[in-house]
Amino acid sequence: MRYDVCVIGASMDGLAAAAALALAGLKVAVVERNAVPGGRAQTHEFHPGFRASPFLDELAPIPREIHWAFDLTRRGALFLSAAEPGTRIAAALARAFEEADAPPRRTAWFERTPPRRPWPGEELALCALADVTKGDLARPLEGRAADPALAGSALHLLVPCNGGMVAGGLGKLTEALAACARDAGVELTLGTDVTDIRNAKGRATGIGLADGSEIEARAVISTLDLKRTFLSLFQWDALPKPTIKRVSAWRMGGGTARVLFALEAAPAATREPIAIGFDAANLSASYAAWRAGLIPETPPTVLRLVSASDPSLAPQGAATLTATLGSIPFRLFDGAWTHEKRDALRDRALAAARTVFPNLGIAAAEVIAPPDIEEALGATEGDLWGGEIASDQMLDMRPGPRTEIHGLYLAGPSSASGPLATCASGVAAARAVLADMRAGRLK
Amino acid sequence: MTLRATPFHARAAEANRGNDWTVRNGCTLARVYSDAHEEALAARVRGVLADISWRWRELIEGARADEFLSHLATRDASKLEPGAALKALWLNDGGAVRGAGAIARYGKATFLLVSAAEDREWIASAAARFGVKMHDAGEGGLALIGPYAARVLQEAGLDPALEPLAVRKVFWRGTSVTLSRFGEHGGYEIWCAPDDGLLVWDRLMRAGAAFGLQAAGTEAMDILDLEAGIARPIRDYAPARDGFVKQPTPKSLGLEKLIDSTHQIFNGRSAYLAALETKTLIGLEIDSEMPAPHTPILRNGQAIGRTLSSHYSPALRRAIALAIVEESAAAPGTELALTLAPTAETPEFRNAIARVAALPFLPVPDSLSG
Amino acid sequence: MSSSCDALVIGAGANGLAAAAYLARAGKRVIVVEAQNKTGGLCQSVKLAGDFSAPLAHTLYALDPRVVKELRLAGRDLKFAVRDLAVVGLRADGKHLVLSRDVHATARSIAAHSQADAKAWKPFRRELFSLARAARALWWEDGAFADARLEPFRRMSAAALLDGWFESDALKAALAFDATDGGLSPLEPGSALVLLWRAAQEMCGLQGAAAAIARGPQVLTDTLAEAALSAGAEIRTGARVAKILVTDGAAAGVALDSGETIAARIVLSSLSRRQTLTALLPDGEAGFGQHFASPRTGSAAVSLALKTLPEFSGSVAPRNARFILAEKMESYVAAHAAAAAGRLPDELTMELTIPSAADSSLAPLGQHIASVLVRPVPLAADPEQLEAKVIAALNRVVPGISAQIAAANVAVGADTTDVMRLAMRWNERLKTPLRGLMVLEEPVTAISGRAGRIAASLAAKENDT
Repeated sequence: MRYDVCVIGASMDGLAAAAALALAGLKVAVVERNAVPGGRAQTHEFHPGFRASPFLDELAPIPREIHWAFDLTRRGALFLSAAEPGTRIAAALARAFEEADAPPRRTAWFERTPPRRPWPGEELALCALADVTKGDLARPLEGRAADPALAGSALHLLVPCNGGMVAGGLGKLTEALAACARDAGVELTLGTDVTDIRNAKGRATGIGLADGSEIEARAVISTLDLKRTFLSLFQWDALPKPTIKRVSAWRMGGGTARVLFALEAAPAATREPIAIGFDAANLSASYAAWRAGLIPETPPTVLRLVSASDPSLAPQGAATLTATLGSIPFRLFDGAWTHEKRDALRDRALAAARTVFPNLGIAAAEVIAPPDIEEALGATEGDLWGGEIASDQMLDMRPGPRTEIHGLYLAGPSSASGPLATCASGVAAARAVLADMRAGRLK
Repeated sequence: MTLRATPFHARAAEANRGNDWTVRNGCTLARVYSDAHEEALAARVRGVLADISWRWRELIEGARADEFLSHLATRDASKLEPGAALKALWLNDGGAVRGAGAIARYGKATFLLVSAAEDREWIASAAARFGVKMHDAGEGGLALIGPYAARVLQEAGLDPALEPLAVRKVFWRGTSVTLSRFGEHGGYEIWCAPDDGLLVWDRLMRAGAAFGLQAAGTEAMDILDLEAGIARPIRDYAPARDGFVKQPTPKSLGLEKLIDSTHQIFNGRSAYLAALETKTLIGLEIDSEMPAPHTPILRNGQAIGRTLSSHYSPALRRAIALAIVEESAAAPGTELALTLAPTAETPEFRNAIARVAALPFLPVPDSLSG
Repeated sequence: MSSSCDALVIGAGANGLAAAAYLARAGKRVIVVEAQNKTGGLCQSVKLAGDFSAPLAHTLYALDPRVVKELRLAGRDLKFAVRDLAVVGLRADGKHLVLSRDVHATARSIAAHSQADAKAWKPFRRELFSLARAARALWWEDGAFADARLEPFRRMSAAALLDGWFESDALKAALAFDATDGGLSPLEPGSALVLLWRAAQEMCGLQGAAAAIARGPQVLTDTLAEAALSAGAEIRTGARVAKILVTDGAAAGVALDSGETIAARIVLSSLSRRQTLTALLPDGEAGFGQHFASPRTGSAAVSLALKTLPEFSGSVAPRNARFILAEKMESYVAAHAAAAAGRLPDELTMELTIPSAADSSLAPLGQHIASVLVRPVPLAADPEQLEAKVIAALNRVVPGISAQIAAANVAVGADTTDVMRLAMRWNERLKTPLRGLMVLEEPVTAISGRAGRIAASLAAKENDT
């Protein structure tokens, strides 16, 4: 049986692409490795009665047209604060969608030919974050490894994580989108690994699954990051050499670690995130430590008493506290991530928490270090944003939905619109597929 | 013009950081405490406390009070048991909606009438014909809304077991309060003597701290009302105060469900039954975050109705509106058009698409009991 | 007292004097005013212990060959002591990297660290130099980036560029020093462009070469001054400009500290853009929207008078070289972070030359000058601490050097390269909101003469229209 499109990964982008295509009348299959869909958008009960979104408390805002199109609120996703992509991001998204709708370019995404129209947001590529935003550095740099004094750091403003918490955790968002996809006729398969992208003569023809079976499709959308898509799902001799070279040189920027705390007693309620260590000097020193493969002394940390905003996340009288640490290296200079190193992270987070809430009583703590993120999400080097947020790896210097392999489309964090807004890269990939189908480019 | 403070004013003033006040029925109320959207969302996730002292509450006493109310309201209040309530309309002689509210029975000859809009003169003069006396209940009231409302009451020492549309007087740790569930948001109302206002507020807030209870202003409450799909007097429509006018009809306001067709004797019944109303109340979801209140609605360039109140719904992330349109355009999903008013940022009229949505827009905040 | 002229040049450094010479040859009446008592600017040398003359700029790499040719500087005694300094990455373990114009010898030197990198050296150099020549349209004339391959350079960091070609950290560290010219971190976008800019220069007919002028760079400004004077320009030293005079949105001349005014409709300033537009103009004349990047870090020129010629440990290294002391790429990152935070880095990154090895005029016979360029350093670096650290670092590669030091001098200056202005066209870079006022600004601060030449030509054209 041949599908119109098969999607690798039931992340928010994967489900969005699938739902958009199914609503347009296509036959769509989604394959997800984990038993639970959602990717970064999950809710995890890390201790009996205590829940949190394990990787991030908030994602980038979902553009409201996409929110309306999938009717997410009525399907059970209630955002606790409503944030909209800013004007710069909205303009960059409009440009990404424009390119998706337009016919494919003849050159690969990493070969740019002048003249080129500048991308909205590009003006930030040479600016230092500290020069562009005089105020809060914690919001743009939460969970990141970056030095706000260096040119190019202003690009973090294009990768927001202020889309709001969701009542019940980010998993509720995934449930809503999955329900929309299923209602539209998408076939969602969970707990199944994709081993490779089937291809013949430079054209993607489907995917191979771990149980030996195969799904044939006219188009394949991958939501895995750039490196994982090309370097683990293809035989290298099936890819053009320039592609292999460029993808191998793609730099990952993972620096996020999380510690989830179950608190015995709820401290004084505060619904605002608490940022510790986001002064310029500490950010700079932490970034230098990250580059050297060291865990910083005082990693920039954002604490959130999530149960104060959403009481369903902890039993009555208790509380759930999340700590998001930035500049935590994936590769440590002195070896692997051992238990001791994870405990060291937990202790650093606890020390930071105790500066705000003295006498904190911990019932349980779960540490999620960069390798754990890689393991859980298939995100290379634990990078939640699919690649270093650097001047030469953002906007039009990220791959668009179309790739050099005919019939293979890239959505997810590595793509141009991926980090800008949630679900955007999935919708962009869907639009590219539809444009190519209507123009007869996909048989 | 004096400040008509409610019994909770001192606490409201402390919490009203932006000093954003409004007046409703002559009472000074906080319009927005911090952020109307955050307050409206809090009502769905945590819990909110709103000052509802501005509502018109009249005690109706007399041997023939039940008979009077039978004639007044579109549902028969004489059949109520003490402690029970019903929601009904009262119509003018032309069959148009003059008022809407809840009628509760306290005792054999004592009733309570609660409404968003005051209609004292007309009702009192009608009551006088039955020898029934009316006077203001003179209490302050708070609405407690949200999934944790019941738990907050429990934590505060009040028994939350109360049916919807029930009312109960309670002696609560030395203070007399009236607990009821008349609202449309699944929550509770707590009414008390004006002198006890601050005490009641403090007790509830303290009990609610563990659940993130916060104060909600009138703006947030209006958003919740709109999301619940209820048309309110003054905000959405002008109640019919003139004796024989025929608008607004109960049908056009979606209030027909408050009329008991088997109740034979309510005022304006024959005019109501004779009316041929082709308009109905719908919900509109607008493809914009800009609200469009009291705006004409077009279909294929033809005007087929108008919006009533309109707000940005933070839960739905778009502007919504109640609207009255011709029945033929009322099917959910129908695409209509309206014009957004100019603003400082966009100084021109813009067209926006609006889609008919089934009411209520959103379900009532789910209560977690036990 | 007042006088007037056609063009007034503030600052008698290389660019100022070059501009003056060109304008004078074009028939304009030119006056150059210099605040110090002698000309030279960045080309000056500092005297140590009486007989030692240490140049503050120990190599020249950006001198515009057209300036040399058109102003006939060679005929006026401008000679080079060394035409092509090799780059040597000095390693603590003695396995020094010798990167010279001889591609094969260089590859052999690199092979000791990485075979793959040795193979990649030739293609890297070829591509870099070819791209650099393509970029000359922008940096030498008033052209634009035309070649498609240049686009990514605008946004690439030197670290990313070098990572793409090489695996050996030692090699990358040796190459990255030049990318930090002007105070950029090799992680920042624009630093790849700085590497490209250096490769786009030409000294003594050799692309990307670094040279040293016989008897010190002062000779360059002396010959430029001679060229200007012989063309009819006037040079006044000891004359500091207090204010630039403005009439109707146009430059009208300058007022000196002494009270004297000089009227001129063309004013060229060698000072930084920031100083020119904020300190020398009346408030608000330059508009409120101007943004000047504040310097974050500085660099230091540490000059040491040595009693003997230093011997380097490990394999033989040529004397006529720029020695780069940087252990690894991370050294630059950590140093930049520390310097930007106001602290002296634990590990300094620096470039060392022995100018006297090829030019005996700089020191008494048998004795030598060591010139160290330390970058980055904090803006308010303590000279004594810095000196001590530099000497300690040198001791590691030249054991016993501290005993040979007779005298030392430390000069710290701010680094002001603005990433946003690196790929700007000359027209925009030189001009200011005021008609007739130009700033002689190079893309990367270096002794060049190019800004002066182009400014003179732009000023002459504007004046004629």
